[in-house]
Amino acid sequence: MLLIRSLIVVLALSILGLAAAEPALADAERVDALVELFDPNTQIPIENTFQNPASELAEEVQSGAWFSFLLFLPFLILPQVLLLVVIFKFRDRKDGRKPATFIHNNKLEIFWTALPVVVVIIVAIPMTQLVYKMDLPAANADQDGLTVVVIGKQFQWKYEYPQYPGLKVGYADGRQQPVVLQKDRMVTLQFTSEDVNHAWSVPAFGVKKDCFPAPRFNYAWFTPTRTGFFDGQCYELCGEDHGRMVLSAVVAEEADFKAWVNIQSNSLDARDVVELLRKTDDSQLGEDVAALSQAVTDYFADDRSAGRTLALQYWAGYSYNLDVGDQEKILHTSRENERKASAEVEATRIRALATEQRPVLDNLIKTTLSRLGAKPAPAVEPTTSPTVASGQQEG
Amino acid sequence: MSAAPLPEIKRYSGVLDWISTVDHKKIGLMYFWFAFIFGLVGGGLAGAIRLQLASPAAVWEYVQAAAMGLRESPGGLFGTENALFSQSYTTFNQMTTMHASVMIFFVIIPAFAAFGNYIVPIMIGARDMAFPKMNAFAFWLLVPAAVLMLASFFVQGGAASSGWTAYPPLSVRSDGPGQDMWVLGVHLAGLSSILGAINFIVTISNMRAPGMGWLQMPLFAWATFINSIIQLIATPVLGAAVTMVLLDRNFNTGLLDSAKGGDPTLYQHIFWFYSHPAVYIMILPGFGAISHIFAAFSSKRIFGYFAMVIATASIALLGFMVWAHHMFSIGMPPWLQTWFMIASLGIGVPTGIKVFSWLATMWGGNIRFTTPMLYALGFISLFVLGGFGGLILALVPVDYSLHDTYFVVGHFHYTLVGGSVMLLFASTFYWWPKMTGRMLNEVAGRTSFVFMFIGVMVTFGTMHVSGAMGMARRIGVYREEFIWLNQLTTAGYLMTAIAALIVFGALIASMLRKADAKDDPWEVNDIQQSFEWAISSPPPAYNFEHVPPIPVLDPMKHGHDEAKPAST
Repeated sequence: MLLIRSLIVVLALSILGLAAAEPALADAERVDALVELFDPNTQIPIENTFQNPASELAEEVQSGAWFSFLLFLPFLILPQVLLLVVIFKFRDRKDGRKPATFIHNNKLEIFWTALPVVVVIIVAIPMTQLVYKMDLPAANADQDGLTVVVIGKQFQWKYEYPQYPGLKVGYADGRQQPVVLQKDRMVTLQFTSEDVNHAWSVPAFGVKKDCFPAPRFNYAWFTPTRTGFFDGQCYELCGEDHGRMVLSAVVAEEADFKAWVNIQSNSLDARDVVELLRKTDDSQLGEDVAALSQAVTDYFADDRSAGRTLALQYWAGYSYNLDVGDQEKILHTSRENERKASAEVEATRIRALATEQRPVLDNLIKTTLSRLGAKPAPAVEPTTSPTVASGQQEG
Repeated sequence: MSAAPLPEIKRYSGVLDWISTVDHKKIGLMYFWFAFIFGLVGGGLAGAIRLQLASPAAVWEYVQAAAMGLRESPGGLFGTENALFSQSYTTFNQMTTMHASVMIFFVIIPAFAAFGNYIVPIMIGARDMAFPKMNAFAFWLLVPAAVLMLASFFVQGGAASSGWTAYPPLSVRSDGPGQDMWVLGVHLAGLSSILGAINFIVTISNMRAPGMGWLQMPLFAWATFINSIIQLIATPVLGAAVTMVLLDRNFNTGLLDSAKGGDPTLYQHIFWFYSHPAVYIMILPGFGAISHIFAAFSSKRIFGYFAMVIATASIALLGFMVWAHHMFSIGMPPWLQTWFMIASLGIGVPTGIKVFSWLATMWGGNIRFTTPMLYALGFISLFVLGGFGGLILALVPVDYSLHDTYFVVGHFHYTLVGGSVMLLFASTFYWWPKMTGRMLNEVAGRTSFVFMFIGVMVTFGTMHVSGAMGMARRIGVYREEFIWLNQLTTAGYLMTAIAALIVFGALIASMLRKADAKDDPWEVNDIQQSFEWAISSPPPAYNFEHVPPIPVLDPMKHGHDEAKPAST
């Protein structure tokens, strides 16, 4: 089995190597789509906890909640109705009517004791099943499931993906970066904290667990069923800025998720190049282009795979997008007209710069790749999961 | 039966008399005023919270701006600029912490102790509590407790800001002596509760009038008795929990620090082992009181007396077995969660018995809509709503979605404001003529009820909605989808506050009037035949000159339906 699998991997590698002969530059639309998908600035209208479940568990929780709600409803309505009846029917009309004298009624009392007990039992049975189902990450875990370690810290979140060595996201560029999950792929979350208690929750997933300081771990699992951007926040009082300890999650299709893994895995040196690009100014373009060209050459020295190219393109798009986002936020929140005006000017300038400079980078990548020639990407680091290995090659 | 002349107990006059008194009636009145004044303080703290949350500057876009390092947002009352109190949301957290602590330890628990102290000895035909000096001591302990807690606002670092639950490690890590003062305040308030509870248990067990068996005892005395047992068992446990916080803070014991081999969830278990029964400490005496109110103003006798006693006792018993439903999200084994879920749902059964029995008490009666009766009727409506939210929250899978959201805040405020506070106002209007000899203004009372009822519905109903939408608790900033809900909540708060101020005004106005209330101002004793309506308003020192006659009314039996005066 292992032999066959490694044969396939070798075959795939050689095909990829041939493909790399033609510089594999992702088209701008694809890069922009990815930038938009993982944009930490995204703001979406809040999705009510019980309106739009985004996981199988949340759907079950929702239907369970409605089931119980409807069974309990008579016990909410009946006393209110009886209360109104009593108020209207038995008010003192001063007509000399003698008040009733009964002080107990065994049949009635047994009835209103037994009926709630029956209802409690009817509700408790499906709920208990759901409790057991929600609890057991190990029993429900399938081999290809995703594991994410969630680490709370005053007042930010860090995510580690142990199946993808070195893959960590968290608070960066002054923003809480979203945790990225794959649609229809079960995820097991492991919660812990670096300081005080926190609670991680995205209402749409129907999951909430406390994060206690290490070495304590908490677990939860679910399978996202809907792509999109989801909001959540810290739900356990954790100090001064608890209210601002926000979080978000992106559920992506398999291809996008793999692209994201690639983008994050190559983030460090790609962002160095992008930083150089951002420093490039119109006035001294000639001089800087040489340095930039050298940086791009260095970037592709060991690995010229399509994934690495995409990462570089992505981080360039991300960088401009981030700055535009900053200015738009000032535009949106500031109450000073001067600041608003300058933010608007600045945003327009950055957008213009992006349309000018991103093609420069693309061209640079193209020429560099054809100059360096087709050299197969080095074999990816061995990882525990076969899904991961193929993911990194295709990305 | 003739008695020896009663000793003169009035040794001082004026303020010294009040300070030195061991008379259960005077202590009861002091408890009452203490609770009411701190109710205004706690209400004021709630006002600060609501002001922050109604401010448009508290909305989400500022959270985003802040998360981006653009800290230009004023962020409302407690924001980073233009702040009224300080430069951070820590002040906001202090407000939520102290609002809860004041309301629980210095308002609702002492307020029921006020009626317990004043009414219970009279109801059971006793001349005073079993330990009058301990009774006075229990009250006076509350004063340093409250001073310690409130003074912490003025120390370096400010008051405790880790929530009234004081979960470690946050409560262990906070700066300044505020959290320590909070712990010591809780210790003193807890000691007061324990001493009071012992006193009630001994009094009710031993000092009932001759011939009054356990099952002839009025329901309010029963409720106070069961309540005292809960307090006696649970309060020391709270002391243990907060002591661990104190030790961890000051002596680095690491009892609650997982890095040092301690366990932060240990605190939560121990804390809620007190604090869930505390929920019943804050409502059971009121349950007892309104049983009398419903019967009195329906001109009927209490329906299902024995079932009521059993239901109250089962609520108390079950109350000790459900604490972990406050903390499902800490990660417990499923069998444990299942137990706590089913037991929590089970509490609905005895509570349902009580609600239906109250309705049956009124069924077929001649209902008079006096202020106490209006509050009691409003209580049923609101409490059933609050309890319904509790049933939903007890379901573990649903609780994962609702835990620590405003749904929880709405739920427990429905039971504590729509429940306990409505009960307290009902009891106040019902027994005030007896306690002071002065009637409270009925127009003011009914007006306050209208404000209170609508106020509670608006304030805490909207909280259920914002909570179901996902708004977290204890946050001073939130996203803009919630703003209209929060502003509505604040409008509701204003109505509730107006109601409380009207009641306060009525109390002050009554004190300026002549003490002219009749012995039986509500004209209920023909049917109720309870000791408290048979003696003068206010009762004389030592209440009863003679050993009172054995109860003329057995709540378990028919036979006195043809009304007879209590004195025959």
